[in-house]
Amino acid sequence: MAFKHKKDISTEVPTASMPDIIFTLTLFFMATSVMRQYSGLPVLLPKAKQIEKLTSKIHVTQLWVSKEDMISIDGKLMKVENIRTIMYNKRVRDPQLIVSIRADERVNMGLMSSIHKELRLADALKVNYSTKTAI
Amino acid sequence: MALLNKKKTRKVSIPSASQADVAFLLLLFFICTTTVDVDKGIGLILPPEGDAPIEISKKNITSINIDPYGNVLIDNKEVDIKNIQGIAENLQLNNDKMIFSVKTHPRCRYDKYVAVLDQLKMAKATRISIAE
Repeated sequence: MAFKHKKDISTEVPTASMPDIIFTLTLFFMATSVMRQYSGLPVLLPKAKQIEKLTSKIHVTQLWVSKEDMISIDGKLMKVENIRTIMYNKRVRDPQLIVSIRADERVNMGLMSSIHKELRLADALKVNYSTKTAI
Repeated sequence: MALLNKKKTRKVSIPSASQADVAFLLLLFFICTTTVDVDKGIGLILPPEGDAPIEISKKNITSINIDPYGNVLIDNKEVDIKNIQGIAENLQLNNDKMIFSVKTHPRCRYDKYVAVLDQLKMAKATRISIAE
């Protein structure tokens, strides 16, 4: 009883389709990566330790306040009195609205208090003071 | 004629052995450069405008004042910003209904206000009010 050795079995993993798979992965990363976009004002954010992440971007509106006391929403400069109308319209469209305040650390609290007042008048009560992570 | 026939047998192919390596490098580049831009900060819910003032017993309120120079006063005693967490934790241990009322001077800087809020959040204070 002699066993015949199967010598002709190939043990190679086919690698012909590997470039295609990797190209598909590359395409996926290229399509999903978004370059950082800044549509606001140049600000130096304050630092904090106990921070929470805003997971969803859908309900978030950013309000920028620069050290020169300029205010910008959606890339448009505006006066403090106009925040009320804009935020009220946004709040009507999206009841879950969160206002992310990206204010410069050198801004005076007098201006911030007037912004708070405007937001309260617009019924946009959920705010998030945007900060950097303190080390 | 014999010379012309020879040319037909020449093989023309682009070497594709390194294609996978090139694609890998591209993939690595995109994996490394992709950053998920997440907004982060201190969350707060503002009180609704026009609400009738609720009367709260004075023993349940701790007033935190920040002066124009960034000095913090808790119940009119000056404290270091770093110590607010400890003080707030103690106050909450003694009274779980404690409300922290943060009042800032109009000329006080915003970063001091954020630092105070950060300390209160670290002390797990949930009842924070902003006095105008």
